Amino acid sequence: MAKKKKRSAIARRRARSGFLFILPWLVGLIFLFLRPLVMAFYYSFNKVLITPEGLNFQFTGWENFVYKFRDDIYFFRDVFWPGLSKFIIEVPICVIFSLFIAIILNQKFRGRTLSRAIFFLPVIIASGIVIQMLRSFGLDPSATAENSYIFQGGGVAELLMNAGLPQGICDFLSEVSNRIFDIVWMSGVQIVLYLSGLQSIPRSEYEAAEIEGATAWEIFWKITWVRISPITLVVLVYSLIDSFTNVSNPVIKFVYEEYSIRGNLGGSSALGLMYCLIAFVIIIAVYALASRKVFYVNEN
Amino acid sequence: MKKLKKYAWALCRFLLIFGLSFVILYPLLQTLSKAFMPTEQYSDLSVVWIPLSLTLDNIKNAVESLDYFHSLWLTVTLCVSSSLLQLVSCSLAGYGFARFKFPLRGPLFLLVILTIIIPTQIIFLPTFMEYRFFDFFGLGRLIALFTGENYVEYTFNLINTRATFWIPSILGVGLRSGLFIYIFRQAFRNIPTALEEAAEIDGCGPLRTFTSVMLPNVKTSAITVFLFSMVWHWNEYTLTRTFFPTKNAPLAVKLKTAIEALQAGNDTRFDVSLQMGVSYASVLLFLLPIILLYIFAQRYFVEGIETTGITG
Repeated sequence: MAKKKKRSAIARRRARSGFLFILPWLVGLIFLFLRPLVMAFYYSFNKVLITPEGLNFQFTGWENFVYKFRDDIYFFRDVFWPGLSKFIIEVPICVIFSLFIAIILNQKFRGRTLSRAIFFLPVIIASGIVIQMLRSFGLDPSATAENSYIFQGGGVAELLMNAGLPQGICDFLSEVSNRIFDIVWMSGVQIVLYLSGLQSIPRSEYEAAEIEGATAWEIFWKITWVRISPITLVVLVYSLIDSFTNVSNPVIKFVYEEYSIRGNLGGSSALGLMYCLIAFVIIIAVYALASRKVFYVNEN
Repeated sequence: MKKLKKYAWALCRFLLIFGLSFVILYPLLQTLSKAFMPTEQYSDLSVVWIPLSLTLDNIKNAVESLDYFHSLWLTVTLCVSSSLLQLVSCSLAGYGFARFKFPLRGPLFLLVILTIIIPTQIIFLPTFMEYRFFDFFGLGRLIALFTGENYVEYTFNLINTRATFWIPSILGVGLRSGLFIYIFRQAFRNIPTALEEAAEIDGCGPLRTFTSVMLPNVKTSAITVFLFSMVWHWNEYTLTRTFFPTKNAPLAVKLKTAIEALQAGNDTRFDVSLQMGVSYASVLLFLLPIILLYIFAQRYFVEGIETTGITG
């Protein structure tokens, strides 16, 4: 009896110290994350006016959520829908591309360290603003005149159409070749994640498969793909979040400009929250669907 | 036959890596080359990579246009101090989540994840107001309640100060703090509990155990977190733009405003023929410090993430 009581006293003390360790974060969470989040909800239901004494609120109900869709017929088509659908193309390409590159960078060859250093460079510079700037100078290599016709979207699509591939696949591939610049620059973190995952796969499994006479194709699908699936989930979610919250996303850009240029705080908050909620639902749905396919090695 | 296949694959791999490296390096190398190239040579078709003659004019103009050294000082001090503060708060929180059982630990950790997912653009308006009328999270309002004065009397305007980054950093909700807490949690979980138990038997309290036993064991993760925090602070635009609305701003803001002004033709200090040169040199000046950091600390960037168990 006494022993049990003592243990619970220790547990309580441990709980208290643990709580103290996270206390600074908890204060920050409440005052600099949860409160602003609640405030953003409040803003979004009001017309917010900036006055010298602070902010002035006028309740407007759902007005902020609908005004843009009602007043600007092109808003949904040109801003909101592209902001949501961007990931349909970007994310799968990004996942496949980064896995492919990670597998190559994981092989042994001369100059591996250098190539890794180059492929991680986008992680360092991927700030959006420099990329936007370099693009505005016309430094996106896929946009320069040096490229011959065949590497431009139209050329590829036509070539593949003539080769008898269905329209959908052709469009997808030409999209890929058009966006190679974006894709390479977007995939920095994903490549790093995959690379670390690949290194954690035990060599013995590959050796066993080779002795059994498995082909490279089988080894990929039966070992690499299965073992890497938890990382694929992480990469998938990361890419989705990145695509939704990136400064180059048209909706995020609009949300920012609505406040900073047009001074419409309520509208900016409302559209931002609405977009965030939709993105959140999509991320959760993708996560739920994908995690059913993930294979975890039972190590514990 | 097998050998042929091997060589063919090596060739393919080389071409692929070379091509993609080109896509990554091309804009950077062009920026480097154009920054030192006299602007007359930009339209000279015989000059592609190597300038016929070198010039420092572009760099000089860019230094002037960005107010470079002033802004560099602000940016460097801001990045280093915020990253250090973030290191402290995130390692504390990461350790708390990794090793202690307390009520609501699971839901609270979910909130850590939520802070990663919600984009700053959604909450930066209320956050801006918080710093514009900063009263220590309601303390000023409380005092004002007793004295009967307008609470604005008891607030501080933190806009345009580094405190707008220090406060969230030390409270663990700074730039991508959620991710750093996650990294630290994973790193601490990989350390055997026996180490802590030994420290406890030797009479260390939790804080002492943390500073002298646990922290030295997650040095690699700490360096990685510090470097990434530096780089992300360096590149941050939305928040720096919001919290530093005046002329005295960090480099990222300076760079964007300067180049936008040049492109819109609002900057009359430089002749039209010089403008592209100024733009290239500005980008170079912006990137140079972080690229140098990357070259020197490359080992930690590359190996760091692979060993921190981000994915574990």
